[in-house]
Amino acid sequence: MKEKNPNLYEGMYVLKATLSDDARNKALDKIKAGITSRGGEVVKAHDQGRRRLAYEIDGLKEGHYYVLYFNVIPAAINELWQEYHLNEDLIRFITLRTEKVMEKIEFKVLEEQQ
Amino acid sequence: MMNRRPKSPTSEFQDFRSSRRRKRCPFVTAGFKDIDYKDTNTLSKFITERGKILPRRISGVSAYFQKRLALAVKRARHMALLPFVADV
Repeated sequence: MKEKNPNLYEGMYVLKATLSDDARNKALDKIKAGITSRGGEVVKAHDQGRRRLAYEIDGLKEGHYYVLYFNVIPAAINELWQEYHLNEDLIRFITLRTEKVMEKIEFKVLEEQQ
Repeated sequence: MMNRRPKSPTSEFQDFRSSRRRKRCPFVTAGFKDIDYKDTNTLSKFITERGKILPRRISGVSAYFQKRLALAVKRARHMALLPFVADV
């Protein structure tokens, strides 16, 4: 039994920070195009900006973080992953099923216990 | 909702900590629904200087949230938001 209904996914993408703004936007468009070309729809895109990587990846110390929320059929996820692995500008990615779109990426602050 | 294991009253380790109060899970107290891997500020409170996940016997996190916490930390590590090993 194959599911044909689209699911909501959350994807986080780390692009090389060494790219120029143009090249980076192009790389992001390529990611979005990958989703839309498979009948998906990008619901929300968050630009998280440059961030220091917690550890070096391929000699890189910084990455540009994006969080996308999108609807796509489950069968497309595998294809997307294959595409991502071939994408050299993309250093890390994660895609997860999610229930709702976060309009803002901010969190409750956990209060220190005494 | 969640089972909190009662601590044995004879535990000699209780004196070890300055207070005798039973630890409450910080996530239950704060009313968290889930722990997000993007929430590095919160996650970093539950890892050691080295980058290891704190055991819940130290942090007092409930079993339910410790599972979620561990998963979130591992996801964050993959995305290079948190270190696998940090230099001390």
